[in-house]
Amino acid sequence: MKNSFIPKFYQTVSRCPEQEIVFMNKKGEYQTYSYQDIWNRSLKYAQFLVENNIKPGDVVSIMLQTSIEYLSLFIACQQVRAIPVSLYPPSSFTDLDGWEKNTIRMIKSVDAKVVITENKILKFIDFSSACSSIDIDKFEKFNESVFKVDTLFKNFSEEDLCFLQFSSGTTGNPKAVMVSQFNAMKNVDSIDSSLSENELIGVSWLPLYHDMGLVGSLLYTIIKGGKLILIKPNDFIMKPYLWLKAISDHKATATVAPNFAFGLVCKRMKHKSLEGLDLSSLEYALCGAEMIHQETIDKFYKKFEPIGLKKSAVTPVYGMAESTLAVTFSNFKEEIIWKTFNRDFLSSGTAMESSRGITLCSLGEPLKEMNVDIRDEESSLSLPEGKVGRIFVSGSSVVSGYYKDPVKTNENFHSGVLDTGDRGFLYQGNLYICGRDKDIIISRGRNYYPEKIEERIFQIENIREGKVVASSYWDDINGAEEIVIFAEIKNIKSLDEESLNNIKSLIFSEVSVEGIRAKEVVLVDKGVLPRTSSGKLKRRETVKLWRSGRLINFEDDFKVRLNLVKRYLKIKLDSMNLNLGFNKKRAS
Amino acid sequence: MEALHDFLNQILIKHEYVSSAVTLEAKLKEDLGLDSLAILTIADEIEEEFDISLEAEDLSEVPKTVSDLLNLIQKRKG
Repeated sequence: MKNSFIPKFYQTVSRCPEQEIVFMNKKGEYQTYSYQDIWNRSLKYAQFLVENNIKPGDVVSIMLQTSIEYLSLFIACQQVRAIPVSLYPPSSFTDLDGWEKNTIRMIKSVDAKVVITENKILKFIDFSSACSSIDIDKFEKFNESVFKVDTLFKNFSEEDLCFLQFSSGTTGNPKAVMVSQFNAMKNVDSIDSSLSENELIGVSWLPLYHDMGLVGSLLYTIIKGGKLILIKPNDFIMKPYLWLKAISDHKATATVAPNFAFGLVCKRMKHKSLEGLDLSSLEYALCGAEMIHQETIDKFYKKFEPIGLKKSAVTPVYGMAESTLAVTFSNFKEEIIWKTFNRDFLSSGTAMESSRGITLCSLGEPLKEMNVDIRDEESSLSLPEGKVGRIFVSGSSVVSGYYKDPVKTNENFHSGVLDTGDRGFLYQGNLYICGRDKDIIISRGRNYYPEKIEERIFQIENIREGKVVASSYWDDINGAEEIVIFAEIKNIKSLDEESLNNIKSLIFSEVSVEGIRAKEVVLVDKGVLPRTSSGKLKRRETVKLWRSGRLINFEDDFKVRLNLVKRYLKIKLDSMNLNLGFNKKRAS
Repeated sequence: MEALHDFLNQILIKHEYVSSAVTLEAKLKEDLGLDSLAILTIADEIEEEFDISLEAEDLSEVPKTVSDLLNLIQKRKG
């Protein structure tokens, strides 16, 4: 019982009933609810779940924006021991066709009993092929609350599932991670043990259907009894300054976001909009979920140090849905540790510092009750410090597998040990990541990290930022794994052949700095490279499309159009009895 | 409507999402390659310019083409 959400949260509510959860809207206005308000509201919701025949163990899909309704419903599910799973609600600009197909597939994959969402979604989408549905307004309008959680306390078990969360990047192939009450509460404990003991005031715009938003921001804060300011993800994307305004207004001590968000506030916030902001209260800004780039973080410091940002604020972390969330944290009191490793040694499996090479950041040490083991790819034996291998994670927050999916569970979980699929090494006690195993480029016996090659290419003029894929393919003629680079180009239609060739040469030369040669460089128009729902480029998928001739290569497209023009001209000219040599066979 | 179309072209070009004026029939995602970040960025500029909200009251309003988006702006401007 000790490791269950409701008993823990109930204790927190009793200890600090006046503590606040604050919702910030797009205009920057705040709406505040006390823990006691939220608790009372969730009891009402729980009663309504019971009236709707929701029983312990039933899966309840919550498809709601970040809101008081989301929060009340999540807690209500805990009270009736149902299993909530958060799904992405469509926004005002979502491509609904693709969304509907994916969402129905996700709901079916967890065998959800009901989906609870807004009326405007129910009016448009029919969920009946997957499950029943309830309009969230009915929960709000329901007035009876006879639900007494105290009588159920004896029933809570740490073995029950606390929630299901879809692991990120699984658009076509959903995998729902089973997080038990024990896993969730232990991960909250682990996070807490490595963070500040000072008062917690957090700000988050992260989606609650993502582990970093649900566990790292919401659950951690409400179990600990902190104040939390929540912003809708789309509101942040539209108005990135809301994030920093909320930190400044509430003298927040904590926040969390992926690398791209630090870049976005730099790019979109004008110097004038910094006036009146003060970030000096911020003790840490956890940064995880994707590769952390030194250039982005340097820019972030440069821009925001003048308004009080502490030089130690950005704190790299590592985790994943399969371990509930957090695995390693760097020390939030210290500046980021960047280390440069010799490229050749690293690709042959050894981490050796060097004045030139690949610069990576430390992701810190394993949290309390979590272990990181670096294993050899082939022998599966544990490797010592300084040796590069596959990262395996074990500990109290590692879940038992994917819901109702023993096949995928067996692929990634081996007797309680999680195969993360990431490649990295331990160095001076800290974890460093060099890439995803499945994306790694292995050419002529050496390993290359696509992120590092792509990062170089981003700097070239006319390349769309972040829209580069470095990968490899098997070339039958050479009998070798060859490197191929795909890049989306700005204003590609306005560039002439010479400019395109220039870009290509620059890409070839940037790649060669990494010590390899690209066999092919493919320039494409914007939006051509395939992405996951979270916007990450799919490297292997890009290569697959290209190999099967289904990737729209701009130059091929250009040639096709040119040939059409030539053919048209030829017909015209032929009809005029002229021949200027188009398609004329060369004399041999 | 023409003025709106010009305005939209200006912001699309300013953010380098496109290099030349877009047609009314162009699909925001498939033809213009606008991802959610790009769409939300231009939506913010439109909202600020006309002091309106593009939030969909009904999902059938979700714009697919340039023309849908212009109609939505026009409707919200009243």
